[in-house]
Amino acid sequence: MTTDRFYPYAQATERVLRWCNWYTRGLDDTIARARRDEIVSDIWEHTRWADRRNEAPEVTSRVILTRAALGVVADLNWRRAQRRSARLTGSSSSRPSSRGAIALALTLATMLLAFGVIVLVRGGITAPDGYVHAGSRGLLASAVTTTLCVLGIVLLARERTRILGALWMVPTAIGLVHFGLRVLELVSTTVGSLALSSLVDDWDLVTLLASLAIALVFCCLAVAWWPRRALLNGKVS
Amino acid sequence: MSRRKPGAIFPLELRILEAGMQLQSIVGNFYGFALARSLASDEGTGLTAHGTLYKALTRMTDANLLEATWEDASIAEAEGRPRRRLYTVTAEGQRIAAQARAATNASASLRPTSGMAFV
Repeated sequence: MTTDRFYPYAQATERVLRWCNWYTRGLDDTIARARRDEIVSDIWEHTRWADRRNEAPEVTSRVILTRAALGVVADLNWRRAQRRSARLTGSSSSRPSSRGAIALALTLATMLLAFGVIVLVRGGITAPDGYVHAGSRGLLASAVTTTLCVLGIVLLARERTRILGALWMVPTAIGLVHFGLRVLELVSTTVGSLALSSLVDDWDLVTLLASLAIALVFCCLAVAWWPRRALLNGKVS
Repeated sequence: MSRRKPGAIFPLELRILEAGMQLQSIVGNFYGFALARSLASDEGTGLTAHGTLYKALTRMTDANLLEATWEDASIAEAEGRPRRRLYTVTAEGQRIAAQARAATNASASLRPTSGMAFV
């Protein structure tokens, strides 16, 4: 029996490679691939060596995971050194498509923030006229989601937290668009008449679809930025 | 990353250079896991952590103490395994290792034994 086909071993390998993919994310492709290939080779040699020594697969798995765990700090230091070196040589780790995606995410998030501010201003101005009771819950929810949107923009702007930012923006976008349109429906003549217009059969469905569409964009961006896992699928076999 | 004097190396780097020179005297070069195994058997410890080992190898290659090349893909393919990254200790690496070993031995001989310290 070869150890790499034993389930606990496969699981250990997958975990190590997932970690490797995570800490090499966003680095120069050549450097990242070299590190992953070297780890793949190491694990392969390790398992063959363990196999020749008739070591139990559970033990080999544990040793592989321990070697990875004990090297975490060194891995992160190595990553930091690579990033610093890339900055000094002026080479960018972001691919052109990635830069476009970042611009799209920030633009969309900023537009959502502007929308939230408009909702709050319009809702606030109209409140003394008696609409506050009907729209107060929506206004409060809009205030919360607008604040969450500011945090989302901060997370998106930092490379380290970009994926978290995109995921953060998914519920934020849904809430902001949904509650914002609810408030505007009450306080804006234009949106109010659109909601009642015969052109729109189901206003609730429209607001839901609009919020889901924007959330879907952030979802796709998070998936696109997620560390590639191609190597997990059978490079070590 | 810590700054250090020119020519100074960490204890792990000295051990890598010495184990590497030993391996390359037998097969001409060495690769990551072979080195980890050699370090573990020399010191009677566990295998060096991935991060620690490959970070040190990268640093030493950048400092021209080691030379790294990827093995020919056809050889790895013929043997049905992933390609190895092959290392050799450079002339500079050998010089630094000899210097560091001499410095270590000198400081060890100067260090007083427990009996002498209080005479």
